[in-house]
Amino acid sequence: MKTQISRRWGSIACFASAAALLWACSPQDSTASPNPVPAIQATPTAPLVSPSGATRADPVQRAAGTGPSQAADAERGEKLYKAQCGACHSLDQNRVGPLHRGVVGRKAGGVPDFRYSPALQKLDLVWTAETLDTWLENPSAVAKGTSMGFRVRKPEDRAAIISFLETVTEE
Amino acid sequence: MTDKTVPLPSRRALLGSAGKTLSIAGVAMMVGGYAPRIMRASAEELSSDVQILNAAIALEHEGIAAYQIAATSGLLDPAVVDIGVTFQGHHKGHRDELVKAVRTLGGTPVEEKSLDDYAKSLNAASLTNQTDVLKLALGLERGAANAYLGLIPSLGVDFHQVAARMAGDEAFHAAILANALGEPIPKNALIFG
Repeated sequence: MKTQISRRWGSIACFASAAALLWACSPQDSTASPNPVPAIQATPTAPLVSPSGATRADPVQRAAGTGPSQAADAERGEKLYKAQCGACHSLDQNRVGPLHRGVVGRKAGGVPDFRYSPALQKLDLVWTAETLDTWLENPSAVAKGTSMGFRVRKPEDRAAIISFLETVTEE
Repeated sequence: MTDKTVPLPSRRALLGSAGKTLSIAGVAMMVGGYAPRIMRASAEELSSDVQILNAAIALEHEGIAAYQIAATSGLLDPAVVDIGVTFQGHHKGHRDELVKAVRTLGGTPVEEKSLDDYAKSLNAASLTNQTDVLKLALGLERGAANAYLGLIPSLGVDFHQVAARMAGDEAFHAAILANALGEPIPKNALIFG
């Protein structure tokens, strides 16, 4: 395997370089907007309101469009979690962000030994499917001043990630 | 940008109250690429940018450490070590650019942790061969490319381009690593983000 991998480095470098350059030149998401969004009421029991003002339904229902029978697949969510959240988070270790095992049902800012931003320390909220959906859509709308700038744009992707997180319980 | 725009002294006071100071060096750097936004953004927006950019610095610290751990693991062929060290140099370049941006905004860049801390959080003890190391690196690089793309909407406009450029670097690294591991080229467009 070592030799095979070493040989590949040289042979693929030029092609990958060109591919990466082409990717870098492709159009970026024109929907991204720096405009501030209205803050939501971040309490465990209050109905959450999306930045667009719509009352938030169950994220799984929102993603599927018709209800729980088409619930998002936790397996797809795991892949998305690794690809999109894995730069900063893991299930069992605090890294750039806090560990995620058992996150559903946990109070925000509640992982021991993780140094949260002041915004998260002050946040009075329990992570549920609903609150996580709002958070992943735009963290700053939930906790202004949070260090998490990453947003998951597609509702179906958020629902899948949350479905996966719901399966990752404390051991 | 918004009706909350305030003159510079007020912004400095607010950032200072949050434990951040606008240094002389920071003022000097304001003549550089990040000055326009400073002159028009609210203190709240600047403080938010500092928080997000500091998370990106933490990400780069971890990436630099990961390549250091890999290079000294004894698990890699010399040619692979050379490429890893080159990638590490890119991450150091990212870190330096981000540190400059945070200081320009009057913030304090987050410090790196110890190599032992990173080894623990990355579960480096579980790495037993070159393939394990490359898979770890690929996961981090792929995640970093997505992370930079995903945080662009939360950042002030002056930082959109630099974040996109860093995402491009991470995507380049991920492409090299994925091919080294023999992963097929993705069939669909819009691979990241």
